[in-house]
Amino acid sequence: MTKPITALTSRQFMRYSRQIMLPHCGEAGQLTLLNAHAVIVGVGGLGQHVAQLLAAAGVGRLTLIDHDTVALDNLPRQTLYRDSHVGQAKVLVAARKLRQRYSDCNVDTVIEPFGAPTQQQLPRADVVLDCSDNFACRHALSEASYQQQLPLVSAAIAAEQAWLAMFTANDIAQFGCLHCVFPADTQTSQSCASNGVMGSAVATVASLQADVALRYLLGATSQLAGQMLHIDFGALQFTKLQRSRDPLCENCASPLRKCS
Amino acid sequence: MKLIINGQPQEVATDITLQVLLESQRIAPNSIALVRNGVITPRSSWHTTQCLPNDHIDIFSAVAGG
Repeated sequence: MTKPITALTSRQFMRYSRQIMLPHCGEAGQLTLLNAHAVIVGVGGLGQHVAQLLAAAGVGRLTLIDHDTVALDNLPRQTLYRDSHVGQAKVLVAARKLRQRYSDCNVDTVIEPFGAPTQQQLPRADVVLDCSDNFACRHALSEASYQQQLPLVSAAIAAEQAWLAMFTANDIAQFGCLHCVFPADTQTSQSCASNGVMGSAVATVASLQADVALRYLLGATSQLAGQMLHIDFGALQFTKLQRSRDPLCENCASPLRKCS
Repeated sequence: MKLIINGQPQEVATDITLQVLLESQRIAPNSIALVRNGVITPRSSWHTTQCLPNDHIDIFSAVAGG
């Protein structure tokens, strides 16, 4: 357990001055970020961008969870990695790079897929970011975060379609969880591996995902309360959709509701 | 009756549910999310939710990549 940071150093004040200027951040907000812990599940296209943005913003502790290794066809969109990293564990490369660049950030790593028998529980954290690339992992995260009452910021992208949503305990009670939108039997033919994706689009979604998480950590009003943002990059169309709770949801509906 | 499906007006049979609409469009129900008049409609209610004239129905693929 690291000791909480109670005051900014002069260097930290200068370093983070542009975000400290923002009314929803300020000096107190920056201290909150420096004492915050974010879990990032998946450090591929979305996750490695999100990790950089959170670390650069001064989030004090990151836990990176991913079992994957860097592949050559990752490099156009996973800009934290380079040719010499091909074949290495993504979380280890990412942790090394983040520690080099961002001295305020402590990085923990887990080289296992979330949802595996030994990875059913999330570490206690202030926010969890779902940057994974398949529904099995996304559903495992939705279940774990709901049971552990951890806020979850989830995003996905393939080809020119993307979505982003934030699920908190209060928000789920009214508007439902990820399973309410995509139940457990959801099949997708839309993945980056099968349908392709452009690095610029991935970076856009990752930036939005990081922004939602940072605003949540700062206690700012959520931009997506009860909603899911759908993005069509082909038309450059951003649409906020209202979520609704599924009374028969296998994750967040109570047993009583399921029987009624 | 007229529905606006993914932004395009389409004539469909009256008194159809969202489930029947998807079947008529040959869309696999477990591969999409369905938005009716701006609200994501849970899959468990598609077979009981009636489409109404001029409903805006948006169908988007269940994307999971990251």
